[in-house]
Amino acid sequence: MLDRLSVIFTQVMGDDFPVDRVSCDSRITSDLGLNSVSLLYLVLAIEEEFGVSFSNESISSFETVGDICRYLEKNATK
Amino acid sequence: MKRFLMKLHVGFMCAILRIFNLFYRVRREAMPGASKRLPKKSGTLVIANHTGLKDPVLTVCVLRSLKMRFLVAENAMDKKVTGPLLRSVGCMRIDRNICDLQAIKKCVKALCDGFALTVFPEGGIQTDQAIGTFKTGMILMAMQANVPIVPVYLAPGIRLWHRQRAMIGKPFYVKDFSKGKFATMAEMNEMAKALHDYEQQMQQALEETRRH
Repeated sequence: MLDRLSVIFTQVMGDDFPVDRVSCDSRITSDLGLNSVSLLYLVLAIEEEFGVSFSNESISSFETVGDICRYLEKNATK
Repeated sequence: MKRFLMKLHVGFMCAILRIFNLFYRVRREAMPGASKRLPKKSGTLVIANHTGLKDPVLTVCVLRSLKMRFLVAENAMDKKVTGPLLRSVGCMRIDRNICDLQAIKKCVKALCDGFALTVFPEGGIQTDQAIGTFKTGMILMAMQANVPIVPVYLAPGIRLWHRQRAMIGKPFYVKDFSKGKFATMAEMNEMAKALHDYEQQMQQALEETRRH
């Protein structure tokens, strides 16, 4: 799952993005440098890839990549 | 019932357009490569500078389209009187304090349904005549819906009963700024800067027409 998320990070942030920094403990904003628009873009791409739907409340609860992974483990259909 | 409501909405917008055109008598100019008409068969994301509360109405008068929607901040939409009024004329709420994914999805749906969605990318009313930095959320919407972005410049500081002037710009396409199928954040930032620079050119071009 982390591999698939890393591909999505590259799609959103570009080929220059240091994918090796993506781990379950990586904080989305402070470690990976995502702002609100890039987080929205990431979430939209994840929805399409994993066949899942996010609510505004679930997005605001994500602090680390691990939070996203746990959400996907419960809700992903693809 | 849905068709009746749509006709009612169109009639209401038509009446507002005619009334406000009496007040503002908008004079429109177009940049080279620009059209004064919006595409009929597809949606369009319209971006404009924001200097006052009348800007959404002015945008309707400039573009003369009734199939329009507006993105309005939560502080205006949550008020008891103005909120329902704004919703009745097609305004959609966005909460700027959170990652409002649901608002983005509603905007993309409106664009896919063929509406012209007007957003003010500076993120708020600017008190001086300088054009503020453009946020990139609008480009994300245009990319998701695969629609062009049409910039509009509204001359600020025009009082009631004085002729309002506006400049319509050429359409911008996200695919022109992206190397791959989808733009990256860096490419979207580049496009936002290009739109900002073009908006400044429109400001200067409108000033030139005023002098001549």
